[in-house]
Amino acid sequence: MLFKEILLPALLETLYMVAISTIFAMILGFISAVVLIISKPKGLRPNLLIYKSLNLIINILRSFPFIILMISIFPLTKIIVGTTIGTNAAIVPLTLGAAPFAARIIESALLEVDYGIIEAAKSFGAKNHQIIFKVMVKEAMPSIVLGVTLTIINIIGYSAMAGTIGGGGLGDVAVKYGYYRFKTDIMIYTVIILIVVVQITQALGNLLHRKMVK
Amino acid sequence: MIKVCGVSKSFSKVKVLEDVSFTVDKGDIYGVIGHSGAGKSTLLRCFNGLETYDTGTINIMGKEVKELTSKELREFRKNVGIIFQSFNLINRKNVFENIAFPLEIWGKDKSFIKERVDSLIDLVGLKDKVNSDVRQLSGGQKQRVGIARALALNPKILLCDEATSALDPKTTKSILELLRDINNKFNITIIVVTHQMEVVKEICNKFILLEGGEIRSQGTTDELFVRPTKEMKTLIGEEELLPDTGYNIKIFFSKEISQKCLITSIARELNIDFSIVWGRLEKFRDNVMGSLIINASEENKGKILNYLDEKSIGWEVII
Repeated sequence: MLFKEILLPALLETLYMVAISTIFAMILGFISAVVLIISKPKGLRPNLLIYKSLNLIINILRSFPFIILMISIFPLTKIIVGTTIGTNAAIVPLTLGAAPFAARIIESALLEVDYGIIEAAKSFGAKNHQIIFKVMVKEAMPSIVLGVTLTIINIIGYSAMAGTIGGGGLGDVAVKYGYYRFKTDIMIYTVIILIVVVQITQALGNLLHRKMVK
Repeated sequence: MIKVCGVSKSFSKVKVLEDVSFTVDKGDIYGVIGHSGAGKSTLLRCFNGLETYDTGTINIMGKEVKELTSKELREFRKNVGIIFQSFNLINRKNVFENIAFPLEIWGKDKSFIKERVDSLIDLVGLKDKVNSDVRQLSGGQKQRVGIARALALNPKILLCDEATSALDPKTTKSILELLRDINNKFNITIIVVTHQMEVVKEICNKFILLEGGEIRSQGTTDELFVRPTKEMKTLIGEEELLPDTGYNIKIFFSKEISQKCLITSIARELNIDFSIVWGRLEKFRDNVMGSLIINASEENKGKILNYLDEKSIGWEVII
């Protein structure tokens, strides 16, 4: 009963929020990381203005504690989703909160690629986009996979916070039942479920990473 | 083929290359030798536009490298393959995919790539490793993949940036043999940048010695080993310790006289005694070359020198 009526729907909500925001955050993060890599001094096409502005935006977004970020972008959320309450509404701050994090993670994975390999690709006449996608992203993929795993786990954590101010999901349940109504058992269940979800995510990430580096 | 004229370059205030000029002909295996930091890698990287140079000209196959637009440069790089000290293979691609990579970049079709890569793998002797992960290869095998990859686009010139510096002597030798084979078979011009004297000795027909960005020595390799210049000796780290008494006469051994019982015939025919005080004989490709220094008394000096002149053997009195 308890599981079917309260915990399962909450879990599904959490998974939904996390999944959608991970996808959006990865897309935004990936684009930003690639732009950073290309435009950085000594990058493939250095552009200090773009590099510095993007850097600043990412740093600013990363300085926000998530809960503050969520509240302060309510107006934006309203424009995009039409409401500030509910799972869909939570996806906007989750995405914006995780994208800068993802950007940094992917950026550092791309920076790790041995410069010699990039130079070799250049020497064979590769175009910039070929160097980025066929060499850098390809080489950095195992690190990116670990980064995505990290991002997902981060988003799971954020989603619990989003739950407390109307986002739904497991965080919502934990606060509503566990905190306001002193139902310790429900609190414990949600924590256990979250632990399991995080464990599975990390295990999958590690497995994929190991497969890639063999 | 390659004409370098008055090339200079500096990184901020430090001069890395200063007024470097030399000419490489088609089919040459040209050595650029020097200590680390001598500017040799920088020079090589100017050849395919990975580095720029401040003044001077580098004319390769009629094109001035500095003046190429980025599109022309890409096109130009098809003709100039390069291999590296650290191989720079893509770790997440296997041997086949690494060699196929330049071909893919240039949009060759699958069947062409397959055929080309297979023939290259044959050439470098890695037939049993086609699908191996490059991380599992030994250094020598990795460099073979590097060579195959560099040759994929059928370049006219192959640049080797310390290509054997990370390899043990035996592997180095096999890689050098492969390079010589390639040079013979396809008449590809090869530029070899190295700090290893053996490499120059083994495969180069001409060389320049760079120090502090300047050319200190220049010539054909045979000459270099028979009559090393002072700069060459410093590089080899060779110093002669000679007796103070009597006369020290240095006799140069070219490949013709190394097997002519020279030393014993001097002693026998002139009926004199002398000691051998220093010597350096080395295997040079399939010949023996080098020099011996003998120490003789003053009265015998004239006789010996006359004798050497008669047989037209190179000598030098060392004081």
